[in-house]
Amino acid sequence: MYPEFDLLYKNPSKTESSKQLEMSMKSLLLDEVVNGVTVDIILQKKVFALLSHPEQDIENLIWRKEILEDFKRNNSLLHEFELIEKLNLKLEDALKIVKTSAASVITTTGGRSTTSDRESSIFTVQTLADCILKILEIYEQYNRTFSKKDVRSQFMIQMRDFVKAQIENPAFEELKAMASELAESLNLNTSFVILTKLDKYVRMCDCEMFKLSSDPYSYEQKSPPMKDKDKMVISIGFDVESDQQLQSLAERSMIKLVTYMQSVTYQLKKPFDKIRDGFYFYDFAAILERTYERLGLPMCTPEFCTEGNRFECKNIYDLWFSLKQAQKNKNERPGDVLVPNDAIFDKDCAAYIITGKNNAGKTVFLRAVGIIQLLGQAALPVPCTEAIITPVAGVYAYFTALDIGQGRFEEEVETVSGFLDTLKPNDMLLFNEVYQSTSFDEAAIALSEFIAIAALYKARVISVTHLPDMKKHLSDLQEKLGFEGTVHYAKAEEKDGVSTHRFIPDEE
Amino acid sequence: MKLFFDPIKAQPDAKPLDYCVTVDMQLEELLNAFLSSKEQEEATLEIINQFCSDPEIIAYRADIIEDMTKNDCLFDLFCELRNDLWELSLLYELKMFKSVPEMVTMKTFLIIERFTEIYEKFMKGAEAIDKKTLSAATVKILTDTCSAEKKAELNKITKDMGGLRESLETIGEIRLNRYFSRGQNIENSIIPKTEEVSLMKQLADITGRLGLDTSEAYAPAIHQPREFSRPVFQALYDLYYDIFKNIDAFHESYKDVFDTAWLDLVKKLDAVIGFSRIFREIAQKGFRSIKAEVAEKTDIADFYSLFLVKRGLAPDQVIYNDYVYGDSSFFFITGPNAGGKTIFLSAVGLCQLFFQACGHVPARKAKIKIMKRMFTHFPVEEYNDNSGRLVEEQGRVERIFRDITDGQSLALFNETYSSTKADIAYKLSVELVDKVLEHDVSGLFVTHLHSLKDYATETKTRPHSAGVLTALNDEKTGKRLYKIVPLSTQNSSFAKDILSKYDMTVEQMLERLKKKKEETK
Repeated sequence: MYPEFDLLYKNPSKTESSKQLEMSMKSLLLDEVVNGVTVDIILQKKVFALLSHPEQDIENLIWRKEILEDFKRNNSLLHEFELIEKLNLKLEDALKIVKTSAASVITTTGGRSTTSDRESSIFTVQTLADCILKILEIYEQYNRTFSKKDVRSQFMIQMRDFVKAQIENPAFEELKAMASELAESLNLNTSFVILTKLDKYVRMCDCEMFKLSSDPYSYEQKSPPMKDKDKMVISIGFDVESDQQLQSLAERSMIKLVTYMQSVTYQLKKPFDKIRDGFYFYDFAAILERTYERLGLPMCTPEFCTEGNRFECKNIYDLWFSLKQAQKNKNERPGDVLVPNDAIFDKDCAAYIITGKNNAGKTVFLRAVGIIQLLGQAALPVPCTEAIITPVAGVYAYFTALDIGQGRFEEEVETVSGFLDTLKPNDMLLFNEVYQSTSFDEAAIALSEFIAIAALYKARVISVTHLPDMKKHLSDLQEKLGFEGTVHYAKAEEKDGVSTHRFIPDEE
Repeated sequence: MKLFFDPIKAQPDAKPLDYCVTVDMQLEELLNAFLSSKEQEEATLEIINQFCSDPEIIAYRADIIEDMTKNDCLFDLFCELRNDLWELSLLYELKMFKSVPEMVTMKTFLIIERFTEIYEKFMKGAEAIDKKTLSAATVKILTDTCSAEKKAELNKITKDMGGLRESLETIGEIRLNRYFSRGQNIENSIIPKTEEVSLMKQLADITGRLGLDTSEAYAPAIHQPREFSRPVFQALYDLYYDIFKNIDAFHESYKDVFDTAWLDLVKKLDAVIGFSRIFREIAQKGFRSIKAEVAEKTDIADFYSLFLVKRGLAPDQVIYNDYVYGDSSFFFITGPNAGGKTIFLSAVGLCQLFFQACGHVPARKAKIKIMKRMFTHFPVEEYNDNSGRLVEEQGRVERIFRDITDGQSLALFNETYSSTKADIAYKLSVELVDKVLEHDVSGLFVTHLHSLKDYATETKTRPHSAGVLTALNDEKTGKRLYKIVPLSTQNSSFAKDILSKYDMTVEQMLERLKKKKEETK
């Protein structure tokens, strides 16, 4: 079986959507981030869909990372791939036409074969022969492309070797020659010579197309008894029944030939069918890097870690906020004026609680963490100087509408309860002022309890909150429930009563 | 060639079974459960429905079935014969022989060729079987097949056929040409296969070497073999005249030799094999069956219902019962619900049916009276035509008594008249049983009307009286024993027992609900 080359997945798997993930992407303003990076609507849609479903398989992430490096190393490689895939698209259009005409090969008519039926079959065979030639050309194009490039990723090497092996196989040229002949030689005079197999009861039990040619046999003499070389030719005649029978056999044989030629074409093109699906990702990666440069933000490709739950990123920036700043003030680069922070949640970190005055940048910080996790977990470059992340099943964000004074406790509880249904170990939950819509004491207990349960389940809550006595509640709950790790606390730094937009450990 | 499953004589004018019996005895379901083919089911059902009442025929069948049940080689031999003859019948009916008259000579050759193969195979198998333990009927069939005369006949045919098949096989593949010029079809013709490789095979070869899946290239383009039209066959005939002229010559000698009665044997074999399969299966499962004797009074020991076998019960899980005509040959059966009464009733019916179909019954010992007629009445759903169940029951009973044969009828009533009030039911039941006894009908009447026990006692003074059987309970535990015996002391139906057994009382159902909630926590 031929391999299938996929630019995005070494190990394809199904992703499942959930109401909670959808809501989280809204909270993180992911759509605005993506739309801020690219104005291409199709690209926006595809990237958003990809980022909304965090990729958990590290092999897939490394796969993409390596391919990205190959595309960076070989400037025109992505573009050349895109050009070759345009040929594949044309081939697909031709195959669609063939599908329709192949269907008409199957219909039978009474009496002598009508021109339109024969034309249709001959046209179908010609088109399919042409399709085979097109797909063989695609192999040759890829081979030429690879011969001029320095590729090192597993994907590229596998594809290069595969294409080369096919072209060097003598059968490749033989197929090309056969397809060429069929594409060029068939016309209205093409005759059908059918080979029929007989069973022990002298019935036809199988048939196949022996020849398609306008001069299917060589007559030794024109007058009866006719002979094809040394074989006697016996006339059958044109009565309706036998003519119909022969036509039916010709059609059966044609169907078999056409079906097989279609199968050959699809099999030959199958290795490249998924390639086109991945272009948008690498296009977006390139655009994203240019965006970081334009915004003056640092960037790096994250390292992936599967031992323990780690999110350790230095000098992180909120991409959304940066894009907004750039829109507001075109004379400044956000990277030059915004304050970066470190977000270090190591293996031991059971939960992370952030407190501080309003407008200290807490929401910005949370969102930066969320966006970096999503971008990093797609193997895209992230806006920070260093990044080590653990792929998670879910990135859940709940940014309540506290800032505009809304939020009902019951709705919040319902939403948080929904997270519990879908929660998996290592998941990241970003809570921004959750449970603010009830009395502070009750809210503090309720929030602490959820955080403790999540920690017990090895999911990490990173929560911005004003609620009182969180340290005490969480300490008591840790003793009672026995969850592992340490709860970290941070606060917004102030100097002379003014926020510095930095976060420092809260050791009080 | 003579057939060997001819009935040894014409059957007396037995009337076939009423359709209601087939339904009430669930014959179709039973046969479907035991038999693997629709044809066997239909053939065995047909024999059962004939309800043969000739003791000689029953004994003849019984011998053959016994041999088929006990002798694996014999059973396999006849199964193969059946399958071969069925294929032959399909060949015989091929449309091409009708639509292409010139193929009539081919038909003769093909049929005779296939038939001789079948016959030779059967003969070889028949000779190899050890006949010491077989019945005279079976031995006669086998030895007649292998007689010297038949062998000589077969040898002659084989000699006359000599070489025809080999020459036909040289035809193998042919080329059919459909030649066009300027878009018009100017020639249809036929040539023998040439040495070149076909386009299809070339393509398959090349793509195979490229590592592609070529299975579609080799899959047949025709799913059902197609017969030639007349002109095409005529062209083929001309092309291979040397071969076909020999087949014509063979036809001249053999055109009237094949006896189509052989093809009718398929159905007869289906019936024989069907009955044999049933008894082989129950033997395999460890149950007993017996070739029953014909008797004036029925006496069956340790019989059981075939439905219990099909349900998967093991021999030691089944309760066996006896059914004996003493002073009475008609009995009430009373007793608790689900005590086994209906099973008993239907098992008695099945014993009678199988006995008169093939002479064998599921029991340890059996002497059975041959009946000319058999009737059943099991509860039906109400008709939607407002006539109600009682009307149906009365109608059915009337029909039964129109067709009865005095002294030679078996009737099985299952809760007849239970759809109405007790006093009316009692009255109608008494009228029914009066008629039954008047006509000396044998049988059973399952009823919940315990008062009919007293009526049974009253009939003791008549020429034909009714007996009473009852389903037993364990006296200490009240548990069902499924034993049906002549006794008439039980009066209650013990509905609550049944409920308790299946955890269906209110308290139990509440407890079950509580546990269910805990499990889902």
